[in-house]
Amino acid sequence: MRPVMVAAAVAVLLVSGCAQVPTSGPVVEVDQAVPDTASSSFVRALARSPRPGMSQIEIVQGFLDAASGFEDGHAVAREYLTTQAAQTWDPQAGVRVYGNDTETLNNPAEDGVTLTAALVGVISERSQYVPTDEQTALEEQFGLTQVGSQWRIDDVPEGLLLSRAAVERSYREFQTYFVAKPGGILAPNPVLFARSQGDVSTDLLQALLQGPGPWLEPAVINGFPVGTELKAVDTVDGIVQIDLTAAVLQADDLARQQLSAQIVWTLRQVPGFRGVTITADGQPVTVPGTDPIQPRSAWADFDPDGLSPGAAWYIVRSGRVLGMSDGNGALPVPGAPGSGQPPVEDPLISLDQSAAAATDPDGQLLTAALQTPSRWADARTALRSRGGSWDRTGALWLPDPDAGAQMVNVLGSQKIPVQLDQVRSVQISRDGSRALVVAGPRDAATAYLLRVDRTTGPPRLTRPRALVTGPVRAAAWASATQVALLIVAPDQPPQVGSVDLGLFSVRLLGGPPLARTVAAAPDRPLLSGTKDGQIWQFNGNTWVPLTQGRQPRYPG
Amino acid sequence: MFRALTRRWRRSLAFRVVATTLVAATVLVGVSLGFLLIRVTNGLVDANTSRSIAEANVGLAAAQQVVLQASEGGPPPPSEGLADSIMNSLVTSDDRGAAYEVLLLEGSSAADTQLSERGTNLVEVSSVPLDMRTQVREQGREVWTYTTIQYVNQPSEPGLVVGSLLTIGTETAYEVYYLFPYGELQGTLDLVRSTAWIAGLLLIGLLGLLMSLIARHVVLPVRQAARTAELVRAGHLEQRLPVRGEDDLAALALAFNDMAGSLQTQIRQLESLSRLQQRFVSDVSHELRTPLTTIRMASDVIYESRETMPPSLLRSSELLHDQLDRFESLLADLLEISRFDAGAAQLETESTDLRVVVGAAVEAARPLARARGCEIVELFPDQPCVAACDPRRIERIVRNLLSNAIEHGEGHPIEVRAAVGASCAAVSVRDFGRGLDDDDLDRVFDRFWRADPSRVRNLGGTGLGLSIALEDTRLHGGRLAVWGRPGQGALFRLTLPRVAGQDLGETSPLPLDPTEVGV
Repeated sequence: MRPVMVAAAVAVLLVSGCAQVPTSGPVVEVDQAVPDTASSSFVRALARSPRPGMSQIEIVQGFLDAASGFEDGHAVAREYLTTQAAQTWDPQAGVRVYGNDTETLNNPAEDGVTLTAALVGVISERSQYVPTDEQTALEEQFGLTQVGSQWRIDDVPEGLLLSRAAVERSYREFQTYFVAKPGGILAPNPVLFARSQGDVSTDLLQALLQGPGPWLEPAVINGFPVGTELKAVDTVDGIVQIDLTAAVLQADDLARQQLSAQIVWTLRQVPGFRGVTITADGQPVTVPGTDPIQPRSAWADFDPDGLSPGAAWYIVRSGRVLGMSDGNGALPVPGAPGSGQPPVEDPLISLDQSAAAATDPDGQLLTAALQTPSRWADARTALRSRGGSWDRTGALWLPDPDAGAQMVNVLGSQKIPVQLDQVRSVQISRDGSRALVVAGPRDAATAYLLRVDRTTGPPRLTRPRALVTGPVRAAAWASATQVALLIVAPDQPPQVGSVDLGLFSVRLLGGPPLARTVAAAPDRPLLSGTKDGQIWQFNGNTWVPLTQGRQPRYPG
Repeated sequence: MFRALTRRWRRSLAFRVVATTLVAATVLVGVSLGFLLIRVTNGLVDANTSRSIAEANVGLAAAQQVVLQASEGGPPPPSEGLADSIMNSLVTSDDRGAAYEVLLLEGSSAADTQLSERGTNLVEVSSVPLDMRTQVREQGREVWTYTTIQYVNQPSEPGLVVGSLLTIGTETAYEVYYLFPYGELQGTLDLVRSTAWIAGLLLIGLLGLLMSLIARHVVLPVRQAARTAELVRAGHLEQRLPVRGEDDLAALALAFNDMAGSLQTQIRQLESLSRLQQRFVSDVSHELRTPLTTIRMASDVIYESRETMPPSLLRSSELLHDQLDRFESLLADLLEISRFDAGAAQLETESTDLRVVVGAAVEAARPLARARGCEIVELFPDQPCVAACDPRRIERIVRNLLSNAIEHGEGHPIEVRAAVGASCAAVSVRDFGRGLDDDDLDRVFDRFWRADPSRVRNLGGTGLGLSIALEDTRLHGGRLAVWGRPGQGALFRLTLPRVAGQDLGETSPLPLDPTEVGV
C-alpha cells in the first residue's frame, strides 16, 4: 500500500506541473512551407443598395460605386437597373478604367445621365490591363426610367466602368508564363482576376491555353499545341491533376518540357500548390527530364528572373570599371575594362558577366571580355553605350536617336526601327521578350514598353505602350514584371518610380538628389547614380549614399 | 424502470452506497470543473479582449491622423480616394494575414451624398450588431461588444467588435469597426471543455468502480451473516461465521457466533430434557406393567370367586376389577402416547374402504350405545370410500370419537358419516348432547382434559383418547377438526388423504359445521 501511495503522490505533482508554458526545449528546424502569396488580406468596397428618394444622378453614381462589388455576379449593382436591364447587362464584357476623380455626371434630360471621364485603360477579354493613350475621353450615356417612385437605369453601357482605384482594389494580378523566344526561359504575361474569385487554377490554365494575346505573341512560344483544350482540373492534397485533350500528345519532347515549365511556374502562384500531373484523355503525358508528378521546384532553369545569384554590380570610377560585391568592396574587373586604359564611361555588362561594353573618351564604343587578359575592341558602330543594354543572346542593344535602335552582335550591327522619336534608352528584358524604351525630348521623355518580335528575321521592337508617369530620365528592368523609372520633373526632386507591368500602377520611392541613372535587378536593391558622383542605394524605405562612383549597373 | 431502481435501492446496500457516491461525485466534479472552465474562459477572453482593444486603438489613432492631414484647409470632400486612404491607415500593410477585419461604414453624410464604404476580405456588415451601430453613430464614443463575425460564403466565427466614430466634417462621419475573430480562442476553449468532460467522466467512472469494490468488501460479510442465520434457523445449529481481523465486522461475527452457540446449547438441553421426560414416562409405564399384571391376576381370582364373598367384599372386588381395567387401559394409552412422543409409532397402510372400518367401530360401540339409550345412525354413501390408511388406527380413532359422543350424547342419536372426495376421504361423528363452548374447543385435544371434571367417568376414559386420536391422524398426514355449540352438540371430523403422503389441502368432503347445510 505504501509504495502505491508514494507513486500516486509523485504522479499528481508531475501532472500539476504540466500546466505551464515551456521555457526551454530542443531547437527544431523550420519546415519551409509554401508561402501563401495569393491569400493576403485585401480591401473591398462594400456596394450599397439604392435608397428610396435618390435622384437620377445619385442612382448612376451608386451604380458606378457598386460596380466594384463583384460578389454574387454584381448583384448589388443590378439593383440599380430595371429588371430587364439587369437580365441583359453583362459585367464580363470588358472593363473600361477611368482615372481617379476624373468622372463627372450630368443630367441633361430627365431620363438621361451622361458620364464623362478620362479613360486610362481597359481590361481586355483576356483579362489583361491595357493602358490607353493619354487624352482619351470616356463618354457614356445612361437612360433612366421610373419604377414605382424610384429611378432605375434601363439603358446601361456594356461591361463595367471602374476607376483606377477600384481596379487596383478589386483585382489580383497573376502571371501566365510563356517561353521567350528563342527558348529556354519563361516570360511572364500578366492577367487580372477579381479578388473575390476563389480557386484560380482553372482560370490560369485556361489563360495559358488561350495564349498570350496579340501583343506578346510574336515574342514568345506557347508550348501547347494548337487545339489543346482543358478537360478537367482536380486538386488533391496540393497536387493538381490536369487532364487535357489528346491534342497535347502532338507536342514533341521540347514542347512538352516547355508546356510543363509553363504550367509549373504558372501554378506556383496558387496557394498550397505542391505539384502537378498532366494527362491527355486520362493517359499520362510523359515529359522527359522530370517525374510523373512534377514538383513545385521543377524547371528552375526557366526562371524569368534568372540571374546568377550573388551577382555583383558595377560602377565606373576614374574611367575604370569596378565590380562591387557584398563583402569585398570595389574591385577592378579583370581584363581591359578594369585597367582604366583608356578611361571609359557608361559601362554595360553582359548578363553572364563575361563581357563589357563602354564608351571611350572619343565617343567610341568598345567591347571587351571580363577576364584576364583582355583587350578593348572597337564595336564598329557610331553609337555610344549610354542607354544601351545586353540581351541574353549576347547581343548589345543601343539607342539610335535617329532611327530607333541598333542591335550589335557577332554578325555585326543592325538597325532596328522603332516607331518612336528620339530614342534615348533601350533596355531589353532579361528574358529577351520585351524592351523598355525611353523616347522623347530630354526633359519630357516617356518610357514605353515594346515587344521584341522574333517571328522571322532580325528582331523588331513594335507596339509601344506608354507608361504614364512624369518625364523619364532613365529606365531599368527590376524584374520580369516590374520596371524602375527615374522620373525627373522640372523643379521637382528626382523620384524613382516602380511600375508594375500588370496593373501599370506606379509606386514612387523617392530618390537621391541630382539622380541621373537608375539600375535594378531581381531581388537586388535599386541603385542610382547622381550627377555629383555618388552612388545611392534604396534599402526598402529610403535612399542611402553608398560609395563614390558613376553609372551603377547590374548585368544586363 | 424507475420501480426496478427503487426496488434495487431498497434491497442492495452496495447499490445504495455506490449510487449515493456517484451522485455526490458528479455534483462535486461538475461544480469544480464548471468553476475551472468559467475561470479559464473568462481569463482567456479578457486577455484577448484587452489586446484587441489596444490594437484597434492604434489603428484608430492612425486614421485620425490621416483625416487631420486631409483636413488642412477645410474638411475634405468625401471621395473614394479619402475612403481608400483612411482604410489604408486602418489596415496593417504587411501580408501576415489579417488578425482582424475592418469595416468602414457611413455614419452620417450630407444630403444627396453617399459615402463609399469599405471592408477587408469577405467580412459582412451584418457582423456588427445594429444597436452597437446606433450607439456609435449617435453618441460617437468608442464601444466594444462580442458578436458573431459573418463572412461571404464562409463559416462565421465568434469575435469581438470595437467601434468608433471618425468625423470628417460637420455633417460627415465614418463609423469604423475593428472585428477580431476569436475562432482560435474558441477552439482552445473547446479543447479545454472537452478535456474537462473526459476527465470528469473518467473520474466519476473510476470513483464509482472504486466505491462498488469497497461496498462489496463490506456487504459480502453481512450477506454471509444473513445466510448463516438462515442455516441456523433451518436447524443447522453448528454453523458459525468466520472471524477475520478486529474490526466491526469481526465483532458482529463474534457476537453472532456466541448467540448461535448459546442457542445451540439451550436447544440441546431442552431436547435432552424432553427426551429424559419421555423415557421416564415410558420406563414408568413399563415398570408399572409388571406389578399391574400381578395385581390383575390376583384381582381376577378374587373377581371370579366374588359370588362366594360376603356382600361388603363383593362390592370391593367389583370396584377393584373395574378400576384395574381402567388402570390397565390408562397404562396402555400412556405407553401408546409415549411411543408417539418418541417417534416410534409405525404406520402400516393398506387400501381400505372407510365404510368397512367405520362400520366395525360402530358395531363395537353399539352395546354401549344401547346401554345409554343412544341410537347410532350410519350415513354412508353408496360408493366405496377408499383411502390408504392403517385400519386399526382408524378404527381406534372412530371408536374414541364414538365413545365420546355416546358419553356426552345425553341419549340423543349419533350420526356417523363417511365420504370421499377427489383427493381425500372423511369420517364425521355428530352428537346432539351438551355441546362444547369456545374455551372447550381450544382444549379438547389436550392431554387429560375433561369437559366436565366433575362428571363420573364410567366408560373407562383415560383422558388421553383424543390425544391419541390426534396423533394417529397426524401420522396419516390427516386432519382432525372439531365443531361444537353449547346445547347443540359437537361434531368431530377426520379428513385423510386418499394417497399416503399427499398434501391434504383446505377442503374436506364432509362439512365441519352441520348447521350450515341444515343437517
